[in-house]
Amino acid sequence: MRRNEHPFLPVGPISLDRLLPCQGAKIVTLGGSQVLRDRLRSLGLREGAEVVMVKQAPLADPVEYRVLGGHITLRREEARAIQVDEVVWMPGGFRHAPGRRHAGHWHGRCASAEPAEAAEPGAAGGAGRRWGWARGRGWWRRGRGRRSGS
Amino acid sequence: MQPVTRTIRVALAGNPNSGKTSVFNLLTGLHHQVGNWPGVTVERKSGAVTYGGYRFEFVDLPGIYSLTAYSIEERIAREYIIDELPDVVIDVVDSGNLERNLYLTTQLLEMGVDVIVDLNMWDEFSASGARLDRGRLETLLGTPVVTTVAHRGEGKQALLEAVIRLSENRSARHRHVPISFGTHLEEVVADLTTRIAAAGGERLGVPARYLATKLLEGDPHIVEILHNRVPAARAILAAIDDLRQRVEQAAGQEPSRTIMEGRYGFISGLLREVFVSQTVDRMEFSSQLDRVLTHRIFGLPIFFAFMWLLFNGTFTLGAYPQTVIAWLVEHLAGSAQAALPAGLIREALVDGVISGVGSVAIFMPNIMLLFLGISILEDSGYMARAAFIMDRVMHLLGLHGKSFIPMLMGFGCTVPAIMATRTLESRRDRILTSLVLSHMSCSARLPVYILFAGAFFERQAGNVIMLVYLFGILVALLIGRLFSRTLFRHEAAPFVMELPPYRWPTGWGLLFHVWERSRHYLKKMGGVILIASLVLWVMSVFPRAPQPGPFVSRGEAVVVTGAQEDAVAVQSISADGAAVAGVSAEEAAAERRQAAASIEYSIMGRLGKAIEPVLRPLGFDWQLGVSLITGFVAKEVVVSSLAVIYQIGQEDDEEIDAGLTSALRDPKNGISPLVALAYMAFVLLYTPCIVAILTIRREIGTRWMWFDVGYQLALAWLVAFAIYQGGQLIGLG
Repeated sequence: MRRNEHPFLPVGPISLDRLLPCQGAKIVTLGGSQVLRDRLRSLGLREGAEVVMVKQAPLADPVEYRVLGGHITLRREEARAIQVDEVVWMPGGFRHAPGRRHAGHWHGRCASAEPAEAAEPGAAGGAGRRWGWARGRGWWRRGRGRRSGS
Repeated sequence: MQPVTRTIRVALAGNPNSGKTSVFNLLTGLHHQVGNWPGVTVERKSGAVTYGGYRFEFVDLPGIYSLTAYSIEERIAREYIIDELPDVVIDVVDSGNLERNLYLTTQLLEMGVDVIVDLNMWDEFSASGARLDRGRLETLLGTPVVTTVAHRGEGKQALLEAVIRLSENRSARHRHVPISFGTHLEEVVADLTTRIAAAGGERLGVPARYLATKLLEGDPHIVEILHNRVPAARAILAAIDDLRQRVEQAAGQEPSRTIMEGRYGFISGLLREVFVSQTVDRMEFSSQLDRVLTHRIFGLPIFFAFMWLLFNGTFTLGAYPQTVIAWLVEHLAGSAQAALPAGLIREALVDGVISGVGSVAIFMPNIMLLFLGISILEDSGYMARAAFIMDRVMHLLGLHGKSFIPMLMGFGCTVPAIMATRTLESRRDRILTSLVLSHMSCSARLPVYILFAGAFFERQAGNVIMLVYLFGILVALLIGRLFSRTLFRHEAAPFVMELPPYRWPTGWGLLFHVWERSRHYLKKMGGVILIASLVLWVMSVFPRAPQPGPFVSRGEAVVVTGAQEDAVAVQSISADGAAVAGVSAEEAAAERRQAAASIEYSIMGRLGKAIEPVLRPLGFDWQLGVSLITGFVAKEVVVSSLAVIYQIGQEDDEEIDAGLTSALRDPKNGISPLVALAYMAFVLLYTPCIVAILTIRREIGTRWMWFDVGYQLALAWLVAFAIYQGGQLIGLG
């Protein structure tokens, strides 16, 4: 698995539990038992859905994800059964792995409102950069449809 | 008033946290009954209302995300729809999360039921800046769409009228749109549908296409139903696994995934046409709040602070009604004592029934407040965060994050704690949690610890009690792990859980619900404790010991037996003036001796003596044995039974404490600090009170109840044995 020039942003299908806070990805496959898969699908964690890692519990397990407009929690072992791809940084935060500190970085949270303009990672107060196919409108802007008849 | 023309049976379905409960309360106006679905301990709410000349019968189905076969709630909902064939199903939708909520809607439509989509929480939707074309939605879905704001009481009329229109088929839009699963799968589905229809599958009351879809999804419940009720379909069933495999190979993915994609595809196409997304994220406020409440560092302490608040609050607030109840009980006992002629009935009533029921009724306010606190936590959404925070620890025990709060409640009283396990979705988790939480030492056992620790460990008493509690927790952890690895290896439910947005818990419905739950507890308690107290009283009084000689009148220091200590005791009591209710000191002493002798002579005493050989290796004699037996009824009774056995005056608490303490320490009674430890361990671990045992039976089943009783007795015995014998070996004896 290559790493692109942006640190901590893995490329290639990885398991969901490896997402860092404020990273978003697209679900590729669901593993686990039939029960688990049905449950995940009915909550919106389905193949093709976009999911964002919000935070982990104080004891590091379970993990909270944002999907389809709601927040869901999963144990890490359940998240390990889900493969995701196309990992991007959500706007509002560039978070290093825990333990690393750099002067001038803004360790923000995931923004829930409109994504801010892309800025260089490392600039104080900067938003995360949008990569690859996530450029442009941004896949996190869901539901912008037309009114009927217009 | 118009004469009632028809009864319309309506079921309410919807996601958890969609406000379905509020809609139910809105429609039934709090005129509803709470019960259980047959054979399971999932709450069933039903109610009836008259409106517009019709009678509506409502049933609230459990909150579900979809209609698969894998959880109790889903099966209940499904079976109700298939077996009971309601006229209308109101699908309560959280308007702020349309895409996911509509997933259930599509499955309801597949079942062929007449659905009304109720867009609840409409106020939040409008305020969020989102827009929806309701008319077009109705056309595309083929169902009526109504908006409600249930927690503000808006929308009842519109909803009821929509139900009327739908059931009378007056609505022109009543048209079901079958969802396409893609060309390839559609061929298979169409073929399977024809074959099932030919085999008579529609006799079940659902469309053949629905059955075909379920078979392709691999639904075991539908397979079972078809196998049992439609014998002609068995040939189809035999070939179904093969068919699914072929479809999977051809499509490159399993059929259930294709079907799911078909549903979601339909939904997103639908929403693209009618829905404009919100400009404000509705989870914004909740996310902000969660930054604090589930904070990496502060989350845990804040959580414990909330728990402390909950329990302290219930006990502090509960103290006021408690004093009222205590006064009532005393008053009742006093008037019964005064009003009735001396004799068996009066004794039975006062000593048996009133004191027994009274000692447990005292806990009612605490329990009700506990229920209220739990309901507030649930409705506000914090309960999910609690499970989120504690799941790691719970998982180590083989349990679920949601098990934490019932286990915590076990420290107050086991009965509401077991009732609280209903929040757990899987039966396995409920059983395991209930078995484990009995070891969270309930508050009724505390007086026993205080007594024994205070008598034998004096200044270390506090630490010893703390040790007992910690020991209980340790045992709970070990037992939990042990059971989850051995008895409960299979069927652990996935933890996957939603974190709903924080909401204000709304008023009357909440209080009403708490009242319903508490009322049930009250009834059960009243009935069981009444009988149990009576039985206990009978056992402790009959057969009566032979009477000693009559007393001389007051004022003369006549003592029935001539022991020197008695004379001293009598003198000191007279000096303190502790004689009350017109009974002189020596009469009181003689009465107590009489009572103690009665106990020894009675069934209870004989039972105690009978089990003494079993208790001897633990260092207990028959007197301690009797007190343990009384603990079956209620742990509070243990101390008072000890007081009677050791002939302590029961005039006031201080006297009891002092008297009991010296009685326990008395070497004549053969209790050493080691025995005290073993005794406390036994009280900690052995079976809970009878109300708790019966609650286990009601919530989990008779077999598990016996298992619980058996294993707890065995465990208590083993541990007390180890403590006593081990201590003697070491030389602590």
